[in-house]
Amino acid sequence: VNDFAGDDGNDLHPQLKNELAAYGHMYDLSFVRSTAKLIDQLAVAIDSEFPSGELEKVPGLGDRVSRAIAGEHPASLDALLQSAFGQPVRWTSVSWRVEDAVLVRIISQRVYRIPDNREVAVIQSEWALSSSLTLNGPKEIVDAGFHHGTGRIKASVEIWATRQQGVEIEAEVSHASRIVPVIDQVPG
Amino acid sequence: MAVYLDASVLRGSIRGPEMASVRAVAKAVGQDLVIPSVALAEATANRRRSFELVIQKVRDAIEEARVHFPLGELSFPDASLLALQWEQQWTAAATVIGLKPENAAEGLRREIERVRPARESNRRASEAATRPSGFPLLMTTSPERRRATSYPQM
Repeated sequence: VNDFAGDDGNDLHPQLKNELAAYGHMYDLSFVRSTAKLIDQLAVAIDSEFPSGELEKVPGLGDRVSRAIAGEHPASLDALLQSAFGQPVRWTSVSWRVEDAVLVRIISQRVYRIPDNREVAVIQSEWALSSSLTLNGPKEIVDAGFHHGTGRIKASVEIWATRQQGVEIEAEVSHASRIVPVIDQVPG
Repeated sequence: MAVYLDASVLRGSIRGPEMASVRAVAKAVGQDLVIPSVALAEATANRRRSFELVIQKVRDAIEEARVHFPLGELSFPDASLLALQWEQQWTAAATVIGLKPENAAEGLRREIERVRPARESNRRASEAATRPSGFPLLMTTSPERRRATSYPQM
């Protein structure tokens, strides 16, 4: 999708826009960057919300968020190491054990009613996770004291959740982004 | 009226909250879901790799466990078969359009000329070729006219 988007990321690239314009009204098309934006165009948001407490109760969600952040995102390990050792670390061998992610806050959410009378929420949220890390190489880094540490990272995660009266919330991770290391400030 | 989906959004379960909601709402407002065959093939290959990864993790964990205690023989699903089943679910839920020779030729021409969606630094002929006449995916026809304020009873 990125290759079709313009610089602002939300509209079609001008080159493609001009191409379409050359066809006149033969192709009446709109570019939609994500499923979140797509559903917002197709359905009307309702005045409702999914409380963070309900989201936290969804079985296994913390584990799935953790996997989406640490398991699939190549930037996460470097960010964890930077958090653990206070600076970016060159590594050749590392073992790490990731804890379940913890919901920090819901940044925003849009809720829609879908045809079978369920409500679906597209939730932009912030999650934190920590990991114990052991660096095994390169030798000079380990000898310099960079061996064991605990890294913490934060990430933005898009969650889709549905609910129906009398039925537990079902939630899944759409994707994670903006992974940043958490670095403790040394009191001055 | 149709919504063309890119491989990048075909990643999870078709029955999960994200895609189930998209499918239900699109259907309610009369927009077909359309997937170019090459995009579906790309998504299916990604899905198969995910299955392979998970199966391998389970195998590794079992091998590690066998060091400590005996375990009986365990069977594992075939990642290719799982991916095929996932692809079939999409084939049933959406309209899959085939890749025509002229689409492939157009994709290659865009690569040669560096015309979007091809890029200077990220040349992907298949990416350009997957779209009918090179048009972008994940788009909807006149959505503002098709927004649902209410749905027919289902």
